[in-house]
Amino acid sequence: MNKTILTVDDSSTMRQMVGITLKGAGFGVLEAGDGVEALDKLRSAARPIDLVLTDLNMPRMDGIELTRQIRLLDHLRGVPIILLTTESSPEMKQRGKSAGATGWIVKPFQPQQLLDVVTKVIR
Amino acid sequence: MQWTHLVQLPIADYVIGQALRLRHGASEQRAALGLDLERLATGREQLLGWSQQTEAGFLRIGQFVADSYQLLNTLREAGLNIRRTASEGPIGQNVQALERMAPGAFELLAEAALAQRRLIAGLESTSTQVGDLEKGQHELATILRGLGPLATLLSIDSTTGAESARASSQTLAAELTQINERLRTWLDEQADQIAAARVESRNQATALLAGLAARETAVVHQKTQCMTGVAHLGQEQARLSLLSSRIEELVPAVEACLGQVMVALQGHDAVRQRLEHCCAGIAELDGQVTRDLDHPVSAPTALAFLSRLSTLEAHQLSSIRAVIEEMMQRLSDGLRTAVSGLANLVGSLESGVGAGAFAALTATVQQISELVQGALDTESQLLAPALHRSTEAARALFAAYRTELKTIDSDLALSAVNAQIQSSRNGTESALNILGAHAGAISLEARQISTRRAAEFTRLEDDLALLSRQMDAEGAARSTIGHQLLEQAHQTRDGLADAERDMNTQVQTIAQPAQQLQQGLLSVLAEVEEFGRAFTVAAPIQESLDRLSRAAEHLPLAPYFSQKSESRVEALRSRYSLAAERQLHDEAIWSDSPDRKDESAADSSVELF
Repeated sequence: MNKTILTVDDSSTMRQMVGITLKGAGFGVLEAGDGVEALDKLRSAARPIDLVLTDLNMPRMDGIELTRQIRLLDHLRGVPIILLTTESSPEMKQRGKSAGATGWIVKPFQPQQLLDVVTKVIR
Repeated sequence: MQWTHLVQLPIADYVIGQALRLRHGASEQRAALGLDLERLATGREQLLGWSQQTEAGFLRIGQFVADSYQLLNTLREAGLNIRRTASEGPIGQNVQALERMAPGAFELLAEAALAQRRLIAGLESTSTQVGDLEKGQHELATILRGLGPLATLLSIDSTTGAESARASSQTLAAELTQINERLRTWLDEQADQIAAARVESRNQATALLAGLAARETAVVHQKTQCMTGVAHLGQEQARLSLLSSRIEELVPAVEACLGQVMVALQGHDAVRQRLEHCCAGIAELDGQVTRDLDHPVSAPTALAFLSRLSTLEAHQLSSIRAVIEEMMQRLSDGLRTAVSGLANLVGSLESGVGAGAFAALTATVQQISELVQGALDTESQLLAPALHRSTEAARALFAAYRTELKTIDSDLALSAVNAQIQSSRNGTESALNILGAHAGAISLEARQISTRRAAEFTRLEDDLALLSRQMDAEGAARSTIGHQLLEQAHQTRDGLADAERDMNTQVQTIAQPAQQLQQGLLSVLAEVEEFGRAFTVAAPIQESLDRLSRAAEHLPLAPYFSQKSESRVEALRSRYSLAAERQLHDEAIWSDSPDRKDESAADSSVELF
C-alpha cells in the first residue's frame, strides 16, 4: 500500500513541485495551504498520514505551530514531520526540534535530496 | 330237229363259242390275274420290302427326330445357359426364339409319328386282305396314293427338321455373332470411356499440378512479401530502438531540468517571502516612526535614523529588485525552454511512437500473417483433400471397370465352354462348334483386352498414387515452411506488440508527469508573472522611501529612538543586508549548477533530529 504524505505550503507552485516529485516515486500526496488547513485534513483524512512536509513561514499558522498542534493530537503523535524552509539558523532549527519536528530541509533542495530524506524517514 | 334247233345250234355254237371265248378269256384273265397276282405278290413283296425299308427309314427318321428332340433339348439347355449367363439382351431373345420354335418341331414330329402309325396299319390291312384283289388294289392304290404324299411329307418333314435345326443353328450363330458384335461394340465403348477417363484424369492431374504450381508461386510471393515486411519491421524496430535511445538519453536531461525548475521555484519562493518580510518590516517601521514622531523630543533623532534606515532599505530594495529581475528573466527563459522542450517531447512521443508507426506496422504484420494463414488454410484444407478425393475416385472407377470386364470375361468363357460342349455332343463340326470357337476367340480377345486395361489401370493407379504421395510430401513441406513463416510472423507481431505496449507504457509514464510538469511550469510562469506584477506594485513603496529619505536629510538629527526601535532596526539591518541577500539568492538560484550541487547537498541543508 502506498504511503501518504501531507505537503503544507502557502505556495501552490511549491506544493505542485513537491507533489510531482513524491507522486513520481509512488507516494500518495495530500496538499494544504497553511497550518490550519493541514490540521483539518489531518483530522478528517480517510487514510492515515505517514509523513508531514511543511513550510515554516505560512499565513494563519506557521510550521512551528503546526508541529506543536500535531504533537498535541494523540493519534498523530508519532507522525514524522519535516520542515521545509529557507531558514537555516541554529535558533530556528532548535525551535523546530523543540516543537516536535523530525527533520529539517533547507530550501533550495534537489528532488532526489527530498526523496532520500522522505524514504529514510518513512521507512 | 326243228329249226329252232337249227337256230339254236348256231346260237348255241355262238354261245359256246362265246363261252369258250369267255372261258378262254377267263383263262387268259385268270392267267393274267395269276400273273397279276404274281405281280401283285411280287409287288407286295416289293412293297413289303419297301415298307420295311420305309419303316427303317421311319425309324431312322424317328431316331433323327429323337436326336433332334435331344438336340433341341440340348439347345434349350444351351439357351437356358445362355439366358442364365446373359439374362438380358440378344441371348435371352434367342433363347426365347428357340423356345418358340420347339413347339412347332414337336407338332411336326407328332404328325410324322401319326403317319407312321397309319402306314403300319395300312400295311397290316393289305397283308390280311391279300385275297381281295380289287379291294386290295384299291386299298393298295389308296395306300400308295397316301404313301406318296406321306413319304413326300415325311421326306419334307425330315428335311424341314434338319433345315429347321440348321436354320436354328444359323439363327443362333447369327444371334451370337450379333451378340459378339454388340459385346465388341460395348468393349470399344468401354475402352473409349476408359480412354476418356484416363484423359480426364490426366487433365485433372495436369490442372491440379498447375494449381499446385500457382499455389507455390503465390506462397513464394507471399513469402517475399513476408520477408519484405520482416525487413521493414527490422527497419522500424531499428528506428524505434534509436528513438528509444534518444528518449532514454532525454530522461536525465528532463530530470535535471525538473531539478533546476524546482530549485529555481524554491529560490523564487524564498525571495518572495523575503520581500513580504521586507514590506512588513517597512510597514512596521513606518508605524513606529509615526508613533515616535508624535513625541516632540525624540522627533529629530527619529527622523535622522529614519533617514538612514530609509536609505538602507531603498538600497536593499533596489539591489533585491535588480537581482530579482535578473532571476525572473532567467527563470522565465528556463521555464519557457523547459515547457517547450517537454511539449515537443510529449508531442513527438505521442505522434511518432504512439499511434502512427506502431499501428501501421502492426497492421502490416497482421495483413501478412493473415495472407500466410489464408494460404496455409487453402493449401491444407482444399488442395490436399481434393487430390486425395480425385485419386480415390479414379481408383474406385478403375476398380469398377476391372470388375465389369472380369464379369464379361467370365460370361464369354462360360458361353464358349457351353458351345464347345454342344459341339462335342454332336460329334461334327456344327454351327455350335464354330460358335464355340468364335465365342472362345471373343473370350480370348476380351481377356486380352481386360489384361491390357488392367495393366493400364495399374500403371495409372501407380502414377496417381505416386502423384498423390508427391503432392502430400510437397503439401507437408509447404505447410511446414508456411507454418514456420507464420510462427515467425506471429513472433514478430507479438514482439512488436510487446514493444508497442512497453513503449506506450513508457510514453504514458513519461507523458503524465511531463504533462503535470508542463502544467506546473505554466502555473509557475503565471505565478512569476504575478510576482513581477506584485513587485511592480512594491516599486511605489521604494519611491516613497526615497522621497522620505530626501526629506529627512533636511531635518535635524536627534537620538530619540527607543531601545526597542534600535534593536529592531539592527535586526532588520543584519537580516536584509546586501551581502546576506546576495548569499541567499545565490543559494536559491544557482545552487543547481553542477559546480555547486555537492554544496547544496551538504549535510547542513538537511538535518534529522
